[in-house]
Amino acid sequence: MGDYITAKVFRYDPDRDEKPYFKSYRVEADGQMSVLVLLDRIQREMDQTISFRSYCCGLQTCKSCLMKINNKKQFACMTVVQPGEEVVLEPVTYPDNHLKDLVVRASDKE
Amino acid sequence: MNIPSHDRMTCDVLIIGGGGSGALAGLEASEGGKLKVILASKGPISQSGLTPTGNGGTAFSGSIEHLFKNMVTAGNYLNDQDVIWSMFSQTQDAIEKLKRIGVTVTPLGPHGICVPGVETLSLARRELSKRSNVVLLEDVLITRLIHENGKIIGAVALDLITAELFEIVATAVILTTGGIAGELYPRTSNNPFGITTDASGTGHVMAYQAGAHLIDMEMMAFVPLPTDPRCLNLRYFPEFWRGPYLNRHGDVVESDIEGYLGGSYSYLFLQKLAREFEKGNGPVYVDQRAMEKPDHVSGIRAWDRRRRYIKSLGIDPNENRIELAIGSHFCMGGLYVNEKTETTIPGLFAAGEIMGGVHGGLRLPGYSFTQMIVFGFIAGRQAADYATGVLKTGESSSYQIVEKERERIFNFLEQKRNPVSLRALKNRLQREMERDVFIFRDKAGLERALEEIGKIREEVTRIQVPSFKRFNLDWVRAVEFSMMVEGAEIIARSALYREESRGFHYRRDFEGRDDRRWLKHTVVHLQGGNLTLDTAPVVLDRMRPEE
Repeated sequence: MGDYITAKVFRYDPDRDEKPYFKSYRVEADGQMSVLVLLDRIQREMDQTISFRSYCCGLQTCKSCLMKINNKKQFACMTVVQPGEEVVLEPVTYPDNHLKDLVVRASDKE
Repeated sequence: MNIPSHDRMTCDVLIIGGGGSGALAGLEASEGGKLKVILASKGPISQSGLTPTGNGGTAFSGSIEHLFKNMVTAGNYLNDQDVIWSMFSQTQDAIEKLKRIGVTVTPLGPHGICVPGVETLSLARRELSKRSNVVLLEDVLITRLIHENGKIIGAVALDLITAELFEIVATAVILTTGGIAGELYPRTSNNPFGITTDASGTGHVMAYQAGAHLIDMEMMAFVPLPTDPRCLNLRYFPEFWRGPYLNRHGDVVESDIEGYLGGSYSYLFLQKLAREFEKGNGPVYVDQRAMEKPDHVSGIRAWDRRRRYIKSLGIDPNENRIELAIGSHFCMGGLYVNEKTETTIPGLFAAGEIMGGVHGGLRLPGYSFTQMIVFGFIAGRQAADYATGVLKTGESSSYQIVEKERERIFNFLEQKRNPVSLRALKNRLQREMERDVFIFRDKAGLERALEEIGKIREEVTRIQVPSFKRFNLDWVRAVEFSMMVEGAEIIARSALYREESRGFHYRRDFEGRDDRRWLKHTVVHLQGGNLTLDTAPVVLDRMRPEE
C-alpha cells in the first residue's frame, strides 16, 4: 500500500548539536504532497524542533524554500512526493550561511 | 549582511516589515545617503510577507476619476477621499520610480498594469543592500513600539536566529507590517497551498498598544476559496471564477458574477454564498465544465508557471468542479492615517495594508498593489522629512520596557505546570472568529466572541513551546499569537460598535446601510489602559452618497 512518505531530514542546531545528523520521519500520506507541505506537517504534528523556511509565495519564484531534495537543488513548494517514496532533505548550502536544520541565511547573490 | 552584536541600535528611520511598502519606503528614506535607515523584517525581503504571493495586478487606468469613483462606490463611502485621490495622483510617479530600479511593468487589460511582487522586492533588496546608510535586519521580529511623551522613539526587536532581544532607537518609525486577516480565521486566501504566511496583524496591535488610533477594523473581506488547499492558487485567475456557482443539489446559486462590483470579491456575492451554507445547501461548487474555455495568453511568466502547476495537479477548473468554502482575505480597516501616511502619533507612519480608510467597506482586486507602491514611497519620504526636521530624542529610559518585554517573550520557552498548546489555542480563536465574527454578525454572537477571546487571552501566558532558541517557528508564532488575541478583540469590539450593515460588515440586527448615523469611521484606541471606541468623520470632499 505504502501510505507513508519517509523524509530523511538534515538536522543541525549549532547551539545544541556537536555535529549534523539525519533524522527520519514516517509521515502518513493519503496522496501526493509537496515537500513544503510535508515539512509543514512534520513540524506541526510530529516534531516542533525542526526548522525550515515555511514561507510560501505559491509562485515558485521567491526562492525561500529552495533546498537540496534528493541531492538536487529544488523548490520544496513545487516538488511533489508520492506515498511510498523516500525523500532526503538538506539545506541548500552547508556550512556556508547555514543557520539551523534546513534554514540558511538569505544571500545577496541571485 | 551580518547583524552586528548589539543591545541597542540607533537610526533616523526604522521601517518595520519587509513587503512592498516597507522595501520601497526604505529606498525613499535612504535616498541621498544622509539618514541612517534600518529595515526590520521577520523574514528575508522577497521571501516573506504577502507581496510575493500577489499576482501583481495593479489598478492604474488613464482616468483618476474612474478609479476613484470605483473605489468609493465599492467601499460604500467609507474611504477617506483625500487619501485615495492623493494615491491615484501619485501612481504615475511611483511607477516611474519602480521602472528606475529595473522593475518590469506590463500592461494588463483595460484598467491596470502588472507589477511583479517578487521582482520588485528582489530589486529593492539589492539596491538597499548596496547603500551604506541602510541596515537590513532580516529574520528579526519587532515585538513592541517604544513611545515617550506621546511620540514614538523606537522599538523592541527579537533576532530570530540568535534570540537576542534588543532596542532600536529611532526618530521616525514606519509600519509596513501588512494585514491581520490571514491568521485569525481557519481558512484564508493568504496561505498558498494552505501553508501559513503568518499574516498576524502584529503592526496593528503594536500601534494600538502605543496609543495609535485604528479605524473601521470591523471591515474584513472574505472570499470564496477552494476547500482543497492545493487549489488556493486558483484565486489568482479571474477566468476560474466566472461561474456558474452551484449548490450541492445542483441548483444555480449564481451564474452572473460579472454583475457584482468586484466580481467574486463582492460582499453581496459572499453573503449569497454564506446563505447557501447556512441553509444546509453546501458545499457550493464553481463548475465551469460546460463553459467555453477561457483565453490564457498573459505573457507574464510567473502566471503561466502557476497555471501550468495548477494543471499538473489535475485540478484544471475547466475540467473539474471546484468545491468552495469561505475564508478571510484582507482587512480594510487599519491605522488612522492622512494622505501623508502620518498616524495619530507623531513620528509613526504607516503604509500598505495596515492603513485604514483606503478601501472602506470592500477592497477591489488590484487596488492594494497601488496602495502598497504609492504609500510605500510616500511614507519613506515623509518619515525622512520628519526625522530630518525634528529634534533628536536624547537618552531615553527604555531599559525597563525592554526587560519587561524580554520576560514576556522568553516566558513562552519556560516549562509550565499546566501548559497549553499554541496550536490548540490558536484553533480555538480561529473557530470563534469564524463562528461569530464572520460574514453575518449580531450582538449576541459578537458578545459571545468577546467572552471567548477574553478566556483565550487568560491562557496566553500558559503557552509553552519547545525550549530551543534558534529559528524556533512555534516561538515566533506564540509571540505573534499573543498579539493576534488583541487584534481579534479590536475587530469584534469594532463590529459590535457599528450598528448598521455596510460593505463587508453585515449586522443581522441592523440590516441596511444607515448613512445618517454611520457614515463615519469607527475608531478604536487605548485610553488609560482601556480599549475605547469612538467615531471620526470620513473625508467626503469629492463625492457624496445620493440623499
